[in-house]
Amino acid sequence: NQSQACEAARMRFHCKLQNADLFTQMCSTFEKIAKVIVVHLTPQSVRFIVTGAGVQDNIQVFSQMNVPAFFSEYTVESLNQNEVAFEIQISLLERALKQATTAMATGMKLMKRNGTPYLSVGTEFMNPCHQTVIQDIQVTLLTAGQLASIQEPSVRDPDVYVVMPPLRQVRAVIERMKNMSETITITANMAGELSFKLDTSQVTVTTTYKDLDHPNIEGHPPPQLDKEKRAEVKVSAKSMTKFLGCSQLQMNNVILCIMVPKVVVVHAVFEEVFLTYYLPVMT
Amino acid sequence: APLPCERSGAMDGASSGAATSATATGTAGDQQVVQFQFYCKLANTKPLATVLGTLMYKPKDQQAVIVAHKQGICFLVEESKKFQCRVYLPQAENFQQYEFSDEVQSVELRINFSIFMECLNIFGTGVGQQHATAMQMAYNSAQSRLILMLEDAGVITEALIHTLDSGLTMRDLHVTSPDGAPAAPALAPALAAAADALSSAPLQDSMSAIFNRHPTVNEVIMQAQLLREALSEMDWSDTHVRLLLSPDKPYFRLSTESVAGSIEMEYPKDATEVFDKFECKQTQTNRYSVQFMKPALKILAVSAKTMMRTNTRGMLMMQFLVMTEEHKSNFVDFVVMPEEGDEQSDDQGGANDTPLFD
Repeated sequence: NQSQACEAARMRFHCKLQNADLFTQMCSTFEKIAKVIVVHLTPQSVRFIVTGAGVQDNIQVFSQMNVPAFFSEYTVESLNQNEVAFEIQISLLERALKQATTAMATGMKLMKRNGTPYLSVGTEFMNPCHQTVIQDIQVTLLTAGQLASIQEPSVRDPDVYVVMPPLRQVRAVIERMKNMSETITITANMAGELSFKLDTSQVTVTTTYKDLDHPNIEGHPPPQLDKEKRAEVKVSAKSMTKFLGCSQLQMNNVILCIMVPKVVVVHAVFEEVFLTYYLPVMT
Repeated sequence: APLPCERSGAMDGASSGAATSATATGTAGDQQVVQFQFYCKLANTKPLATVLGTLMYKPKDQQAVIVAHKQGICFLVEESKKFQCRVYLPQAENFQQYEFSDEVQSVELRINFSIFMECLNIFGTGVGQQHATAMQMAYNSAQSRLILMLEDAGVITEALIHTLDSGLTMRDLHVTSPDGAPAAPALAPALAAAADALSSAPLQDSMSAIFNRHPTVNEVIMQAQLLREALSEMDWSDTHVRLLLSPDKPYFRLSTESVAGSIEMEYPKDATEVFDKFECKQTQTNRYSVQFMKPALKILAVSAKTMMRTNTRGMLMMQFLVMTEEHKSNFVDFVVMPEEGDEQSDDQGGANDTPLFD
């Protein structure tokens, strides 16, 4: 319609990619979660979002990459406070960036061809001779209204919150558990203990971690160690696996928060990347 | 006397082992005292996981029967009278501690082997693993469960695997070949003694028993790696692998045939770097389903030597001496039925082929 066309006409985005390694890892992390994701560009950050709509298990993921750590010559302009959002098939972006890690320069921009919007990814090489590869990925622009409706869930204070053991180790265990059961019960207390359990007619398996830390949450009193304060929730093994796809990012501060009976939230921070996973709880 | 007892949930009492300490621990009012039929402890699961991994030939829901007695444990997988594979784990070779109840001769249980292996490998199988995973295993027949406790750098996994009725249809108390000799051949004398003891226990010996009822026709003992090389060359998209054993040329031949063509691998009988023993009385060609030969390939990858035997029914028995990285040796045997068909005509065909090299 007219207003959409007008909005689209005033949209501009282009940038040069500086941290190709980490950006590509982010793409591959999200490829494990959903086929299509929302990319939300603001002057300060690039956000990858999985809204849960149409995603199996309704897992939601909100992330933020601060511009200065990833891009240079970054420009984004629009009638909507210079914010732009579009849906993209993330595997196509990952594929387009495959060679960016060894390229001399990589740039991205939004453009239109025959009325259809594309994200154009250009990589420049010097070996064996100077060449530029351009890959155009079709995207679906979101209107200001659609973007406004994407809200990060508001959750209350957690009942229990704990720093997770190294994700690579947890991932190995959950991969095995996933082969034995569709659901996994997470139990944690405020005395450094976290366990994952599955219970089927054929087998019961429990893996227990001890001596974990509890982080200081800003604006809250320091955590009191309390064994009696515990929470137990059931989540789907698949959504756990999707969350653990971020283990490749080598984060060392991943905090699991349980708010019974609603949701499990995992906050992860790594350099200039913030990731939050909302895992729906099963009854 | 009863075995180590279980306390509420964990195996705390179990590692103390002897019957005397078991009676001493079984008192506390709020703790449940349960008896195990067998208990074993292992500091590093990797060698065990490697040898047991060779038994997996289905993508999921594979079952196995476990037979345990004083000498050790045997894992057995079988495919409805077509194929059977057994891994013998003599207790002295494999476990740091092993206890077996005085009250029974042996125990048999059936489990979902796919689940068992997932639990055994719960902390991952990757080469990047820095710590050894330690294991304790115990069987509680009254509660129909096999308990596995695995520990990796302070992280503990406890698995309670539900056991099924072993569903034996045919049992042989003593497995010997027609001439009365023990069924397990002397691939390695010390190991054979242990295997003998295991095989003379009540085992689901349907396939091995059938094998031993028919006289052995051909027998060879060869270097496992060379057999593996020969088998790897085969066209696995074919449905069958043909094995020819003969006192005459070509002596030993493996072959497959598909639309793409045929592949043959031969070894002459006097190649001492290949064969430790070559005793073939009669020319035999048999076909074996590729699906059941695949486990052999896996086992060969970790074996030192292999014995192959065929009987008058054309059944193939293979016995492997498996070596794992910690220089533990274990014993795996394997019996497969031939596919019915064209053995005789194959024989004629083979004899009429003009050799490429003479």
